[in-house]
Amino acid sequence: MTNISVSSVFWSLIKRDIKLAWSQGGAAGMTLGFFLIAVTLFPLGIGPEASTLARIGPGTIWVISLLACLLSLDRLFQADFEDGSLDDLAFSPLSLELIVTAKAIAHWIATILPVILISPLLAALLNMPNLGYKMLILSLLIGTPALSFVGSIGAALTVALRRGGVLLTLLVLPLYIPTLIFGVGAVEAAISLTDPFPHLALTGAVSMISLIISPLASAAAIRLALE
Amino acid sequence: MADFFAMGGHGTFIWLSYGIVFLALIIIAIMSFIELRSLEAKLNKLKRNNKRSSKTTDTPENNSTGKV
Amino acid sequence: MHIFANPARFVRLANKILPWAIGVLALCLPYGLYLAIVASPPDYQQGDSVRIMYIHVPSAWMAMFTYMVMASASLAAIVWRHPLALIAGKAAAPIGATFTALALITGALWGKPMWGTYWVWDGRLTSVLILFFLYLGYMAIWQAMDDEETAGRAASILALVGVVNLPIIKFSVDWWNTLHQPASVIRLDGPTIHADLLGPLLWMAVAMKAYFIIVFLWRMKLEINKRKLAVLQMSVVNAHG
Repeated sequence: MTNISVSSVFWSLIKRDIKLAWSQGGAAGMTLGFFLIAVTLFPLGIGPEASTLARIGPGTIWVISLLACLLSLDRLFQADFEDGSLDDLAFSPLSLELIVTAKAIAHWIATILPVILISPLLAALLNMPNLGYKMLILSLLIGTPALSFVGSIGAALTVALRRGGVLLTLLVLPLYIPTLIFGVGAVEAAISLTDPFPHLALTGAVSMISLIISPLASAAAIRLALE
Repeated sequence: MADFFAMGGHGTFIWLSYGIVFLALIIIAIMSFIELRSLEAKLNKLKRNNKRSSKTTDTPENNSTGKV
Repeated sequence: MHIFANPARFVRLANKILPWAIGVLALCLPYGLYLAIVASPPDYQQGDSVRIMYIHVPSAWMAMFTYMVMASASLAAIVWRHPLALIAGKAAAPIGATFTALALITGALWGKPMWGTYWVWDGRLTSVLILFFLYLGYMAIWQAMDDEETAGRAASILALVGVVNLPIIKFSVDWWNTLHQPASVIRLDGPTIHADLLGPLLWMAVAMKAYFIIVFLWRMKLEINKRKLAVLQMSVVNAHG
């Protein structure tokens, strides 16, 4: 009985958050727009030379998806914190650890997945070699969950602050570095015809570790804010 | 002596790194010590004031000083 | 005032430790410096620039050691809610950040004559840079929140998350085969480093540890005094108002 209600609350929370992210005033559409515009700035800033763009392509797309993720994170818990629904959720059958997990999953599906789906298009604009496309999508799929999960820790720590966005960036960006290094490494290995698997495995390992640690840390931080 | 300071051509790097380390560590230590001392001074002053203002009432502290 | 019963005992203990730590520092630092700069021979490969190692390696050790102190204090602060634990973490952070910055700077100054470049983006350098950012983040949380208790516990959560970085720093030189040389002192099969180099290194390491203890205890006393002062000022305001 309780098992059923826990899992159904978990899934309905994910559905609710995805819907909210795509409804009016949601962050998902704007994040996608940011991703598009920010990537197109690079050819304009660096110059349209095809070989240069091809070299910076994977790194640019990874860095901008990272920033796009950051941009949408500061509202991850804040809206629910301000209108009190986080308090209500804390009394639901769901433990706080599962609530933050559900919200991180919803954030990934609603905000990051569209960015990943559109990334091949932008890779084409950046003249990325054909060899890299499959690995770009694969590495983003494997690596970006870590961004949502680790980001949820920063969002939870800064939830009660009025201007938490800058602090959030300071806290979270250093923790994104491993994912960025290994993710870009996988794409570049694929382009240079070396074995991308070790990079991919490390990207996955970072995601797994963040999946274990971040629900605990985020829940502790939310509890602190709700006290 | 000049040989000693030249350190086989790497003198700049060696003396610079020792200099930066000692400067930074000394600054942190002195700043901490000065702040500690000034806080202790403020605390003592406040305690003295508190004692003076409560002298009219009988506190254990006043009794003990009275015996001496 | 029972909250301060424990800190009072701590201050007494600290006052007992401090003279000893100062004594050790006064003893080890001059001798360590003498060995490092004057008495030890130049390395047969690196020449005199090996002398940078005698401050670079102890700084890097202290950067990690201080993080461990900070993380242990954070754990105690969250699990047992020990009032001194928050203070210990806050006191350790700026010292650790300084040691990390110094390890990076001296590493750059050693890298230039040895590798021909101040900086390479290898695993060791990058993970130590992340360590530095973690210290900054920890201190930024303390700065950003008004309530000491909340700020301290939020910062503690970040400190504990950042513990993941410590094994990465330790093993980065084995995992990534790059310019930074692998561990030569702390190894399972005993140090591989030459005895001539080990002497000054260990003396400097002891001196830096003594330095840490001194400044750490000063900063803890300082934080305790800050809180005492706040309580006293409140009571004065209440008494007069």
